[in-house]
Amino acid sequence: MKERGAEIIDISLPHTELGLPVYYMVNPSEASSNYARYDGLRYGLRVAGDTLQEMYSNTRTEGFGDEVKRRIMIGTHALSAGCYEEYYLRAQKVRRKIYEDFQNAFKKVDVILTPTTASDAFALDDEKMDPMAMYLEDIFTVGANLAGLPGISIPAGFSENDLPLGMQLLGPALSEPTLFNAALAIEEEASFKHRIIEGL
Amino acid sequence: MSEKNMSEKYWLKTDSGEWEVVIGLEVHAQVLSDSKLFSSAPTSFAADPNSKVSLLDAAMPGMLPVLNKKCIEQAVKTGFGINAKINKVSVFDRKNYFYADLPQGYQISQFYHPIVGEGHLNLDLKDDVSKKVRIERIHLEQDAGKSIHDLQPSKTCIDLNRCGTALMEIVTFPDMRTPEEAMAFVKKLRLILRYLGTSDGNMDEGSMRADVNVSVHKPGTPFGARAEIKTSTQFDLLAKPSNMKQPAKQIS
Repeated sequence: MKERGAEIIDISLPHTELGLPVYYMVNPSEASSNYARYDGLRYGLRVAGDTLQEMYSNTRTEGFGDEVKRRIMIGTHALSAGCYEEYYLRAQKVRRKIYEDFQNAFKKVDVILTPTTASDAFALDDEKMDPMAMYLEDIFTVGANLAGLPGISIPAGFSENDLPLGMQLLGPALSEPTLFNAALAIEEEASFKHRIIEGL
Repeated sequence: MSEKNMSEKYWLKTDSGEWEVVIGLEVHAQVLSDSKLFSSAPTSFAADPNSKVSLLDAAMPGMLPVLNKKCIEQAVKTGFGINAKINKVSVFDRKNYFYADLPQGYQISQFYHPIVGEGHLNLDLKDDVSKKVRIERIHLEQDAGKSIHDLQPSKTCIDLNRCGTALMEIVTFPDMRTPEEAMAFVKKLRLILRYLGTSDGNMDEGSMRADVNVSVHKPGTPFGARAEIKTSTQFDLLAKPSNMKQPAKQIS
């Protein structure tokens, strides 16, 4: 990157580790509200029931997958009376701190380079495929979502298991042109080649 | 409030002594506007069922609300009409609940930061008595659709025409002490809404509805637990002493 004229500056985003708990409070809350419209009344799947409540329950039980149901339950709890201030509202306040971290960082740099995920990909039948482990993998990417920033993930080589790894560039709001140009520069300099791994 | 401004006392007499009735109102008034609070669908009373419904009102996936400027102006105008503080920053919140006539699964309303803050109306009661009733807030919110239960024996019909129409919820402090005062408040408020052209205040068509919060207490002691009487759309209902049955129940 230096060869293409980039200057490497270390920065700190002090609230990064709070990103995950905040994201997994805000996202399920929004999901529980946003998915309420999939009630079987106007469009999509409808599974009959004797009462309106039963129809809702049958439709949503059958129509949603496990992860969506998990988030709807967490979110409904986080938004419920008595929990709202403690969970959702507090998460929104920390979200603001995360946003401010990025704003401060972008006073010093144009783009931020980080790994995309914390490890290489899990196998489908991996024991580590439990929800919490999956959520932890998102540590580097939730910041952009919470702060409303664009990011681009690009190939960065291979792990010791020969699995592809990514790195990401994050920029200020509306900095997509800069991100595309920086990503192109990295791609050209690093010249990662596609590889087909036998026996996976 | 000075003693001479008090209207005739309306106390419930029971075996356990005299109880004062305390009344607060939540009046829902439909905002006069051509289109709905967050969609371009027209607002209209008595149109064919489900003929005034935009994709947003029907909660199609991916539809995003766009705030109707006219509704904001109408709420601000109403705020001036009730001598109220206009909040330069106000925020919409979602109130989540499931019902067949609420396609989004939530009502967009204002909970924490309403558009209009505290105000008041002066009521002109009989015998030249006047009384000030304080208003806590006015917030804007979406109306729901209509569930019609009596068209078919085993089915409920849904009409989404009203869904997404702008309502002003005008909330008073518990300042009224008699059904007559509550009625006088609603009449005065309706007069102001009509004069300003911010709502037609038509109770027959449901464009103005009042929830009545009633409690009783021994005069001079803290207020009691309140009971809510939902959606009165007639003046005489508001003023009927029989409506006081519910608070009277609390006494025993």
